[in-house]
Amino acid sequence: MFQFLNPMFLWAGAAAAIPLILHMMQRRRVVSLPFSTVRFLKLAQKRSSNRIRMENLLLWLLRTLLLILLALAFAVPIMRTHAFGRFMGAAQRDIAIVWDASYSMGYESSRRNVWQDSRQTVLELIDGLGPGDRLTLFIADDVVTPLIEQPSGDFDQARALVNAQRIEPTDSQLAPALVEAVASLEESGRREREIFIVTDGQALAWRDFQDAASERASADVAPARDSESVDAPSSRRTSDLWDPEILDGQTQLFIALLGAEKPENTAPLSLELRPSTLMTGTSAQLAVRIGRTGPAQNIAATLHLNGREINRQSLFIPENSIETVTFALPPLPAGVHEGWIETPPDGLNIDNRLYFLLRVRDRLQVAVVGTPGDVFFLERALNPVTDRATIDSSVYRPNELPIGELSQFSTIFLCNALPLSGQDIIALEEYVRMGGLLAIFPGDRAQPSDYESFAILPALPAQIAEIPAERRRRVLLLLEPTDPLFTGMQLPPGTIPSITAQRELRFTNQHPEAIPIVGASREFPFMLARNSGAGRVLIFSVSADRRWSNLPLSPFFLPFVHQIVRFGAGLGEDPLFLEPHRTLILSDILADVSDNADLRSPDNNPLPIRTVQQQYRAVQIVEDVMHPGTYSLRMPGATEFKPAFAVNVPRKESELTRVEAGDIPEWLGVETLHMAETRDQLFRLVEEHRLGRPLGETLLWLALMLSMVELFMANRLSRSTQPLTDQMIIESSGRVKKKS
Amino acid sequence: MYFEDLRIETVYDIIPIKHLGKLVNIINRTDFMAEGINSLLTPQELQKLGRLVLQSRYVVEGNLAGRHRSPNRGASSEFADHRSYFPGDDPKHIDWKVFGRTERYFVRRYEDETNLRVYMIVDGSRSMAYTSGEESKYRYACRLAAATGYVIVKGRDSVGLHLYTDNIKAMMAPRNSFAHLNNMLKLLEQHVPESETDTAKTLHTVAGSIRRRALVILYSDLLDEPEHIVKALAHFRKQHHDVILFHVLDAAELDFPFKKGAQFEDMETGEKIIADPRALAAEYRKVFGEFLEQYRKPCAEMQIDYRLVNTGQPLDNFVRAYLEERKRLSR
Repeated sequence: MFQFLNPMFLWAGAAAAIPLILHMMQRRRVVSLPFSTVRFLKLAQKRSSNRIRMENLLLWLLRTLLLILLALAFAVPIMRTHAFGRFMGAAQRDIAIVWDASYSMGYESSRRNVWQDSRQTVLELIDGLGPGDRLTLFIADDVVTPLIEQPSGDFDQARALVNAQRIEPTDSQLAPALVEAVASLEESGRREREIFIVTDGQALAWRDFQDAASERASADVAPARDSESVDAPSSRRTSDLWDPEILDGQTQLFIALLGAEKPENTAPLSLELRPSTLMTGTSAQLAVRIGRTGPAQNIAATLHLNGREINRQSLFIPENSIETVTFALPPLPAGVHEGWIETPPDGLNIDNRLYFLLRVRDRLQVAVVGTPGDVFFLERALNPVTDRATIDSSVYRPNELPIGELSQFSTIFLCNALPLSGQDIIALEEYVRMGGLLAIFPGDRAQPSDYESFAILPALPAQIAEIPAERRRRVLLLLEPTDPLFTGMQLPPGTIPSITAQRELRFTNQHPEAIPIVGASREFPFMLARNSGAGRVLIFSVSADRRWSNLPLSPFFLPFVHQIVRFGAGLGEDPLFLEPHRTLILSDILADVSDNADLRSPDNNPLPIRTVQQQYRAVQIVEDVMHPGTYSLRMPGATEFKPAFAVNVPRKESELTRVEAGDIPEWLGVETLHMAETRDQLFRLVEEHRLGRPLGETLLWLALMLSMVELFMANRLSRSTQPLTDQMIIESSGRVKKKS
Repeated sequence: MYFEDLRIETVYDIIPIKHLGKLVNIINRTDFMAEGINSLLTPQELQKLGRLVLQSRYVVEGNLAGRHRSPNRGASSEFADHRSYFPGDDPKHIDWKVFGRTERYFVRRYEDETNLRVYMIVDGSRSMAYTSGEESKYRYACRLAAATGYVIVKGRDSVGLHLYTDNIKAMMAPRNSFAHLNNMLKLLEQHVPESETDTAKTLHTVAGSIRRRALVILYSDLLDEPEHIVKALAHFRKQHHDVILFHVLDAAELDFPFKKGAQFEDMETGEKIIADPRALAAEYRKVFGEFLEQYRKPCAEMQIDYRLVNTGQPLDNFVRAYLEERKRLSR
């Protein structure tokens, strides 16, 4: 019922003891005064003791009450009551509105439209403000967008901004927006402060608060460990994002969870292409994960390619779970094919389609660097005698490396090619960083020191060691069987990979990110890998010819080399789709794009491409890549638009599981907050809260009146009654006459 | 003119050379008086008192001829009555006019006039030492005694002294001389207020010691039991003494003007009491008013001249006003 805007002043209530203390001190510090006789004083005291006691008590009560009233007045109490509040008006207030604009707010059911509901709520909140009130407005999506950052009394502008706001195709995090909202009310002084969070009640948006609460709880249990973790250069802690301490006790928090009570949504979440590289005329599969929020349901998912439905799958999805459905892709001609997976219409339609682009290649370009003797077996393995060759290998001598054209190769093999010139090494390193795969076979030409020029090797060779005869045969194990390199690899049945090596490269100083992938053991790796940038470097311990081992003759050499090439082709492959970007670095996903290219959004709006300088390189960027669908690009001089990339809304927002309202106070670390699940309920709570006004002014008036009473009483008591010499007529001769 | 009336400053202006011998005596006398009356009264005050007289309101019995009516018949010019002639009476007192009308011998009798004997009774108790200003009640009483004594002696009347606290500390029989007055005043000056007071007992004692009708002047704050003191005063009146009661009080005792709380200590008994004067002032004044009334009313009934003397008022003004009023009322 009572709330204080400046509760610190309640401490001043201790001043109520001052009159009593002064009285006690006065009694203690009494001055001795000789007087002719005290008999009349005693008599007067006896006669008036009761009256004096009553007057003193009354004065003490008045003064104590006065000080208490002053302390209370400066503490600015607010009485909130149905009974009297309506008559007492309202105080000036600053409010901050955090409006969830993630795409889950677009949920519609037969009865309600959450977005329209929330917009109406925000508008009514603005309408409910009076003269002198101010507001700030923050849009909570994947970033915080302050529509009104500083408290403003321009409500017309606020209404216009609210009406113009659209749903953002992003997820949302409420914590940063709430932090901004709290900060915006810091300068509100003695006004009432209210923060409104208008959201749909999706649990996802509250995850930061939940994590922060967990971290606070763990910190309470093990503070020592927590302090260690603070020192550690770990990733950002959620509790750094939300600290309940920033929300002072005077700020009232209203939360409107306006979403459906039991939302239902089905959406394709992700897809995986098997194999990752599509070749002309080869079949492939598309594994699609479909998630559902709500009760179990049979759904039909369809695959569309190039605008035509080409496949339909029915599947049963249990309650609140994710199922995977696999679509068979027909052989496709070379080129870029746009498509989407679609689930049936539901309450949230924005995520029913999952757009993607399939890039089908005719052949894979591979460069093999080495002398003809060194590359002989590898070249044969890459170009086996078959009806349909998928690999187009080019052989270059070590001093003829085409450093300007490296980007066209999906994989580059170096066979006894070292030492190389510094320029070649730099070009190769850049090739790897941009997504290429570099496989290095040693040989007799290179000394261990020649490898030191490479900065991206998994390990530096220490020596070229001769292997004793009894240890030459080695069984090769897949030390990292889950490595993507091995995805889809099929060895000839019954083969156990093994080689007989006479000589090998011994490695020391393995890089921390080096991965021994194949070998007899981790101490004696056959192949080491290291990821660098978007690409990868592989280094073998034996050469690609027969001088060091019988590797080229082993039955797994050919499939292994082909697997490496396929992996290399997939490494630099553009992703099947992107998430929305406010600013997208186009040159990272599209090679050779220029400012003059014409990029169109899914609704055929042109998107300007700009070149900016970023970390010593010029990159092409495009802004507002937010709308889901396929974006198309027409290169300068070309006549047709071609699919460039596909954009999908972030799929974690598709999970509409509703937050448990009872958990929110604990996650926020706030004891009192006002929670509503409908607009009507919210405004009922607002009305209840706003009824009444600060009693500071009233109390000050009361204190003033009380001080006047005190003044009057004290004056009356201290007012010298008429002196005795005035009460009697004493003539100059000493004759005394009583006044009539 | 009496030389004693002159102030030393003015004496050179008016004394002829032929009287220089007497002047020496005056100078010597004033030197003698320096510790008595001159230390209590300023020359200005003495000058103001110069032409005043203290007139007895009743018949008094003195030793010498004077200006005051005596119960005896004497040789004044004031006709009293006739009585039958007896052999031996001086024939010159026969009223021949009455003889002419009645053919009987009557002798004219005249009222006797005698001098006044004044007994000054001064309270020297510790409470008389109280002052809220510069002058204590005792000092003021001494000065008042000096002023009245001066007027009395100057009027060729006799003045005596009783100084008392809880008993009589000093007593001097009435005499008509400035030296005697001065001795009395020196005695008063030398006394330091002490001890408690018992005014009633003292008054009874004094009343018992005075045989002939006289004027009794009491200088006291009367901080004693009023009933007892009133009875003692009645004792004087019963013996036909004329009584003047100077109730000497400090202004603070009358008005109780204190503001801050204090511990008041009784100067006579040492009793202490903590009080808030602002809260008590009204009641105190009421109580004190009742106390004054306990003296004023009986004194009026007994025809005792009760006078409230506030030590705050100038002494000369008070004495002058009082004596003039008394003279007026005595006619």
